[in-house]
Amino acid sequence: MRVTVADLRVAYDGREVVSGISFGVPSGGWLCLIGPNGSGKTTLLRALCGLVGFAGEVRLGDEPLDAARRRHLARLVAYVPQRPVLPAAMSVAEYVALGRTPYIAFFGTESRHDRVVAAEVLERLDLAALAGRQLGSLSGGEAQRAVLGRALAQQAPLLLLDEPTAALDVGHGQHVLELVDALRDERQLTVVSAMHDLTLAGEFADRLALLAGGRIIAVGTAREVLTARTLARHYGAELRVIEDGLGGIVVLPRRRPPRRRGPDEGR
Amino acid sequence: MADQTAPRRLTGRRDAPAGEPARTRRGAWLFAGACLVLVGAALLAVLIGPADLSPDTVLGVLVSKLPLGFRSHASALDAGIVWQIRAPRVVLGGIVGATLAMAGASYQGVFQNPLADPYLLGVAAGAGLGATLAVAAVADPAAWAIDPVPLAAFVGALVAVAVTYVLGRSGQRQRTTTSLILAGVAVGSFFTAIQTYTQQRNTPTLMQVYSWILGGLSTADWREVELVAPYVAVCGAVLVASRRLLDVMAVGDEEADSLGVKAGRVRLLIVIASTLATAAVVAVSGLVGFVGIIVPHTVRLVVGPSYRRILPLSILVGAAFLILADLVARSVLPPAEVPLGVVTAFVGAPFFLVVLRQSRRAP
Repeated sequence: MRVTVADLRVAYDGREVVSGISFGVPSGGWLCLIGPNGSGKTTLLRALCGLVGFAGEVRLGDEPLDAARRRHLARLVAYVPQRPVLPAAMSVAEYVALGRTPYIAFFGTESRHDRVVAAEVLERLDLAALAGRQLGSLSGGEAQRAVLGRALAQQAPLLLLDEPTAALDVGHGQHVLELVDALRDERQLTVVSAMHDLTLAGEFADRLALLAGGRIIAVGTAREVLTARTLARHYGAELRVIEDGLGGIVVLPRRRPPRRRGPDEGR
Repeated sequence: MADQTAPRRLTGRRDAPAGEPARTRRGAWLFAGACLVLVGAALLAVLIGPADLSPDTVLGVLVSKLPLGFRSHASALDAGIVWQIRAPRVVLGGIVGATLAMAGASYQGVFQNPLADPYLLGVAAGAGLGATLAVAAVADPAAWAIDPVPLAAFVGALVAVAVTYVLGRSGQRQRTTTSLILAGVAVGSFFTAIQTYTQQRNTPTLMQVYSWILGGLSTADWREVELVAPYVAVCGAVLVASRRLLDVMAVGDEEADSLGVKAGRVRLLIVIASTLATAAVVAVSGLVGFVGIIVPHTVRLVVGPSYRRILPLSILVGAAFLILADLVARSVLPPAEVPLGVVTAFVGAPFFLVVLRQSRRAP
């Protein structure tokens, strides 16, 4: 499903935090939002799943987002927040089954089909062995897979991921992104993510959008967006951008001599 | 996880996870067990009383009320004791216990707060004020077609919760459960202040108000059962039907919204249904405490966090618990009665401390 955003604006208490953003993501594409803290990445993701009001236009396929009812919207967009609420005593199976909520009538219960879909997701994400485990007992990587499982059970063509690797070590972070990539391939998922790890973002996403101060500064491939000059300017950091010779781009922070300006003063 | 992420094609239709039927079976057994406990508690409560009636007599009267053509040989007095005094009291006790436990469980789910009970948003203070005003203002209750005290308690409870809800939602861009709970505390304190003042100004009524507040079923009759049953039946049906939604609410308002459930709407529905049912039972039983907290917590300890199991089981266990508590209340110091609220709190407070200690140990 293609996602089209035109002149999107979000304001909190009269203060605009996302201003005039426009972009498009083709069906099966992966756009990664990058940018310093407070640049509007999370707000933009929340707007794309209808959790905050906005001005401008968002179209999911041919459908305007603001015309969709909440339950229908949840069938189109699955959102994985940065810090999802994981009820400690809930089992993995129960949690993944929550992803079927948009398909169940208000006072209804899961159909056989809902249970089958949830079971398939558990199997696909190798969560079947953990199905009976309580969420509170999972490791960071297992918990992230459970959260991804719930989103996948929604069977929504658009997947929004807010910092999916923030709580994970290098290995688990990479595995989660590989999983998303494989699922995108299998199910023609369109993915919009927000990420702080610029190297991983460039490695996995088709296109990157650099946000600063609620505006898009640059959109394009990793090679186009991840330049030392652009990043230094908007992150207020001194970075080395290295081509690894295998087609990838590595972004590394460089230690500065003392008494240089920090990121918040640098903008 | 390293070797677990290779893409794997999905097969066609598959069965639900193997663990599910086992869990459903266990739930069914627990449900059947709770039904048996409830029936046992009800029978025990009908069999025991100050009038020395044989089990044959009591059971004979009960069976004669079933459409089986059986006639009891009990005297009219004995039949009256069983059917007009003991039976309605047991049924009303069951309804009150079931309602308080069900409303408590629903509030704990919808407010995501283990300390939530049916009186969270001011039902108790509102009912208390209503009852106090009625006792103080109405000189001759017998002249009224309907007893004014339960009526005023019912209205007071609804007014208090309505005020809490309106205050809790205004003044903030996004209403949070915390602001609602705090509004409930403020409204409760305010109503209690007026109630205490009214009580002080009308000291002759002190005893009557006091005994109402402590709760009890000594006035139970079939008319009271008929009065509360419709509210409890309708609201209970709504709450039981909402049990899956309560599970969704466990992930917080925002994630529930992103799953297609309007959390604010669910909360309002639960608050309305719980308040109406609680106000109805409080009007006839007074303020019986702790049932709404201890019963859902006990059930949760046994069956886990899903409200699909907690809610139906809380109804059965709450009913059985209150029937037994009332049996204790009227049996320990015959012919006097210990207030029902004293019995439930006497059992409830120590139990609650145990639950608190356990939850502190939890990871």
